[in-house]
Amino acid sequence: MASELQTAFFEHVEKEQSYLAGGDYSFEELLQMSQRDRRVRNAFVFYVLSRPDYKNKLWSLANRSLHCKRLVNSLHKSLLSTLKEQFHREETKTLAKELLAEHFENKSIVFELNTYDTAAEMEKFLSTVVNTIMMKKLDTTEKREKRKLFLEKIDFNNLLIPQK
Amino acid sequence: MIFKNREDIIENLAMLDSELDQFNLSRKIEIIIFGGTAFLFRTNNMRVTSDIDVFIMTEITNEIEAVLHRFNVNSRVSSVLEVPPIEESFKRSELLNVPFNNLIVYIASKEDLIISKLFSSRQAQKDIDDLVNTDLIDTCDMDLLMELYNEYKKDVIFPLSRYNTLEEVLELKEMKKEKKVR
Repeated sequence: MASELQTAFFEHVEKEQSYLAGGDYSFEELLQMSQRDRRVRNAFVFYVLSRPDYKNKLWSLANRSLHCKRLVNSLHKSLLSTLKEQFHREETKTLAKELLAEHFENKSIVFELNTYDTAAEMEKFLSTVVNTIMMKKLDTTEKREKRKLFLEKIDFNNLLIPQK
Repeated sequence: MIFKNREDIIENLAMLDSELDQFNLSRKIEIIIFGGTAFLFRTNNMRVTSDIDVFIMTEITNEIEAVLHRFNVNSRVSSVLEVPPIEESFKRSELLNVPFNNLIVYIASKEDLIISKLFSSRQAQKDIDDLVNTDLIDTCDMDLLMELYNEYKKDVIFPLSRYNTLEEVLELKEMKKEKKVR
């Protein structure tokens, strides 16, 4: 059974996916977008984990499509490296552990020598979503009121001051 | 979290600032914002970012760095940014006019943002796209940009694989404009 955090995470991912893609799209459309839009790609790989039908499709396509294989591999790598990062919240690591156990238990990982680390971007996505959920959870009415007063004092028309 | 505008960024920094109150810091933490967040302050083009890439100018403990990280403030930007040197870009940055208790925030100049994208060691297409698809180059001080670009090129070893050329970006921008006209 999915943990409370995992449920909140996937709800958030679905919203972000929809915002980044500019609407609700099919698996095939999202997969296509993931080839040209890195933000959609980062959300898409996690979104796939929330839907068994989508996950089965992606896992199956990974056997014959290099792009899909790279998506799955980078996602796997991102979850593993999440466990090692010292600055992530404990909740982020717990979620990564859960996702690894549920989706990658008997899967081996291929380490690719890439100049650009896609897995690092996916890890960052996971971490920022969990941060957002936790920030919201730990926020209080008192903090919100204090922040509201603080923000009201800011002159948004005069935000940047050149240094002398 | 997707930051869509300056207000989102400032609210996030205000939350971080309030969290930092409990540490009774002896001095404020100075940061310079680069990356997508700085784009939100420097261009009018719609762009989103999910974290705040910064250079930290003040020495901080791992505990404090973990707090920054928990509020999506990421200091790893220095690993992909070889130039501009931070001391130089600091002088050209502007102060964010927000009275935080524990933070002093600067925003990198347009020219330094462009340089950071051109000389990013990760050499990703997204860095080129950021320059082609926003008005940053159109609204910057072109003389200063050329001066910095020519200066920093000399600092780069194996130049062909270490930076995106400004000429190529300008050409792509021209092509994009021509396409629109047609």
